Amino acid sequence: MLTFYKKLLEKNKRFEVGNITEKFNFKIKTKRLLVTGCLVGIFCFVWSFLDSPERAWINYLVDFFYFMSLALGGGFILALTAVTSAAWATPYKRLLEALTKFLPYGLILGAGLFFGIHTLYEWSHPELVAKDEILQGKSIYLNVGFFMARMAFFILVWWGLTKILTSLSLKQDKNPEFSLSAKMTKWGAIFLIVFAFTYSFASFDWLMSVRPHWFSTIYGIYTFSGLFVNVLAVVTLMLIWMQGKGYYKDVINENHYHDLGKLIFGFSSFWAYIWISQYLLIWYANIPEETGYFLQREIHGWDWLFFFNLGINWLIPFFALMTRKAKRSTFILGRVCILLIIGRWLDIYLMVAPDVYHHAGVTNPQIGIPEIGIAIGLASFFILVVGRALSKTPLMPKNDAFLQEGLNLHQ
Amino acid sequence: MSNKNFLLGIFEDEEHLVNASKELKDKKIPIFDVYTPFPLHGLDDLLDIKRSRLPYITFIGGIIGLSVGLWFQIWTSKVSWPLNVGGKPFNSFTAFIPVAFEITVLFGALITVAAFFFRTRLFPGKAGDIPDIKITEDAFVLAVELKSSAIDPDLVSSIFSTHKAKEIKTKRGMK
Repeated sequence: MLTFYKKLLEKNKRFEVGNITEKFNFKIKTKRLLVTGCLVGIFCFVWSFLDSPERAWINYLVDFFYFMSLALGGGFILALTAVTSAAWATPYKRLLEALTKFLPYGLILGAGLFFGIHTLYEWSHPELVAKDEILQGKSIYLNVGFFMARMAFFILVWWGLTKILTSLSLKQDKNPEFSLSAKMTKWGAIFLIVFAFTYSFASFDWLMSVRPHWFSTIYGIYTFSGLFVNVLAVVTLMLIWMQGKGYYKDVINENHYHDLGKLIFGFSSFWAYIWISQYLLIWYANIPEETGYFLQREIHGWDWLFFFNLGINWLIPFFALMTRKAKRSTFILGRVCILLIIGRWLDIYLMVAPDVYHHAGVTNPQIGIPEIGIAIGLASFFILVVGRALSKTPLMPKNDAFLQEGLNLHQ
Repeated sequence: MSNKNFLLGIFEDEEHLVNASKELKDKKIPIFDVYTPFPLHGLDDLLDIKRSRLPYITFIGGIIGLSVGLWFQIWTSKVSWPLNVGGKPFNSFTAFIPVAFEITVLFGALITVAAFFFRTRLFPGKAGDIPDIKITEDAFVLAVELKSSAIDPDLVSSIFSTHKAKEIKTKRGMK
């Protein structure tokens, strides 16, 4: 194995493509713009909080979950490619590593969620739990202390594992050792198992418990399928944008976009498959305590959002990315990615908002400036963190054994 | 088709074949086809092979399957023999989705296979249509169609031999 790796490194040197020491230049002008975006977000949050606290906290939770999933998704693809010896993401694996750098900030944002617990979660009110036998039974798991402890635990574990994966990859840049690749495979396998459990439970805790009487065992897979599409769409859009700015010249070509396009096409369909799996079984069984969840989403103006969600996340991407030409064209692929990025937000929003609003006595969906503003705020913060991480390291992994294979993709 | 004439260059090494193909392309001599024991990277681009139109047939087949699947279920459970199942509506569209999906896949696949056989003129018991028996083992074969007088056979053979073709021969009546 060692000689094989050395041979690969030799090959890498012989056919060096692109600028291997290229770094991302995070312009001060962009930074200023992003800081303004953060301020807009804070302003919108405070403004809508004064108007109706539940609206502010719903958006906080939705965007918190969105960007935590995205950051974690970067780690997920890193681990996945390390375990399966896949090369398709190797040339741009630094983008995935940069995404994971957002995870520690989740501790601060998660701590902020503490102040919104009473607005968002019915089970956090002792007087309501006292009247409700089912919630009493669940109170061993659903109580504020344990909820916050679990949240801290999840984020710390994610942070630690992704830190190990990224630092191994950075170490390999200076030190061409195959043993580092082997270690990445090992830690990747550990990450995948831990991720499956922690992400499912995080979804149960943060999203599903806004409707504490309702449960769905497929919920974890459902949020995961959205995470996978979302991280692929974001990475594709990042690549398109960076290539437009002149980065990754001669490195990323239509073959890489074709690969990403196929994955987006496939996992958008996977999302729809999980969606219908959840819907169909609940519809068939027709048990009132389960159907309530979907009924809530099919009345009072939520219905069009509910079906629009299917269209934006599956139907349009499915037909738009069906041909080979579409997957290889950054024009079509980029637009589908934008659609999916918005679609993911709507998907999470629909998991949270109808129930919290119902609890607060608001019947109709409210989408307006607070929603857009708070999303822009957290997105700006996310881009600020990721961009800073990206500007610190070279854009290409130097001694990765799969770099050459990843550069010479054929379709 | 049987009156067509082909000039075959049989190579032992894939690099020689790729080089010969490049020179033929430079001289603007159209290559009929290349037969190799394993896929060669970059050869598809070199030969300017057009994309297969088969996926469009699959798409149409899938649409037909979806329509037939949905129509048949709605017709049986609503029109022909309405049956009350657990108080659900006769036209329970949600319940029809899995079956409609399966029929979409079935029709798409079968129509694709049928279209493929039809287009390539394959049928059970048809004799193998290969240019040279060696391509089933380790030889790389480059075939050039000799269209009337447009292509000079001597030029093609000389290109073959400069690129170390092991054998050059003509063949009549290949599809």
